Amino acid sequence: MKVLVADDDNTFRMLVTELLGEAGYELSAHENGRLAWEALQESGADLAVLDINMPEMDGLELLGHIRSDERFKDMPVLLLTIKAFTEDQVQGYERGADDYLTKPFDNDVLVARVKVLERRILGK
Amino acid sequence: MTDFTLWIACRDQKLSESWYRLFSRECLRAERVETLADLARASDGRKGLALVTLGLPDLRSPAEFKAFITGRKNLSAIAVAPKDKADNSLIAELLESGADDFVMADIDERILLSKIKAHLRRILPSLVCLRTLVVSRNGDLRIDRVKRVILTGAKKKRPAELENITPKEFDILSTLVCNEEHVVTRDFLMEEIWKERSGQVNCETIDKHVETLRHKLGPYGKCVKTVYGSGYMYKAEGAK
Repeated sequence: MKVLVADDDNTFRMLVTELLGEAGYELSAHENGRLAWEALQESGADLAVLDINMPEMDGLELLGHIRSDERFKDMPVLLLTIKAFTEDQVQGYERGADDYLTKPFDNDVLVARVKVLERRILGK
Repeated sequence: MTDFTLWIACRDQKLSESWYRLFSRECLRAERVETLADLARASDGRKGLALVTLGLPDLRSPAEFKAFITGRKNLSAIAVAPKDKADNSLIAELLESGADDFVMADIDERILLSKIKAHLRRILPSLVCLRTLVVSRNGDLRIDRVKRVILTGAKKKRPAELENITPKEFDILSTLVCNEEHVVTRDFLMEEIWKERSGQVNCETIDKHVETLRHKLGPYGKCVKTVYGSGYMYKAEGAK
């Protein structure tokens, strides 16, 4: 199960890749939305964990690309962001996010939420 | 029509009532229960999404949650707990136990609604309409899918109820209006309306139903457009 991770914050990106790596996921981690989108088109992924505020292409724009692309439109996406206002969360879901988690996050909760998305893919 | 229900399993009457009103305002079919046993009975053989609050008489732990949800493929569940009782380990455990999501009981209603809609997008085919009341974009056609009533001229002082509509014609029209200005394929109509009998239906059957429906709709009949080689689309006059 391959997870696309996009976060411009090195600390969070490394933490997420470490946690999900330990949980057995294959990772494709990138420091902005554009790089993540290019990698996704080239190598694919099963689900995505995206920050919102990123340079070049933010997480919502990337989410828009994902939902507009026939190959990835059903891919589960979790937004992982510091943006905690109600309006931000509502916008995230309306743009097509499957889940939304605010930073700072609990490690176990992040892994558990990614596993929920994995269960959806596997139809369990 | 898709039978889909949002169950609210909650002992807190105030919260349960508040969520019931929220979903009803969105024209989503909601039902309230107070125990897991009630939820099991209500959801037997039906498809739906349940908000399951910890603290029900027969739900005290994630293990009981897991025992309930395991094997219930017709039901997705969002676990709910009061803020003062929900620590991160409990949240993670509930998610690991089969919950599709977790929310605090005091979640903002707009966020809850967004989450619910995100779940519905996933659970149901994109074109399926869950609303019990469907209104065309120009407000002139109203379809009550519970009472199975179609009103034309709904914006006028004296709307008229459409009569002599057969069940299949009703289902076709409500599916088209649910997906207004989007193409609904004949295959989708077959699967959505004829369900397991869809194999016995051919395109000509649907075309015949649509032809009769157009006639019965009178001036509204021209809103049902044929999309050649694909299916049909409802587009209200005056809609942008």
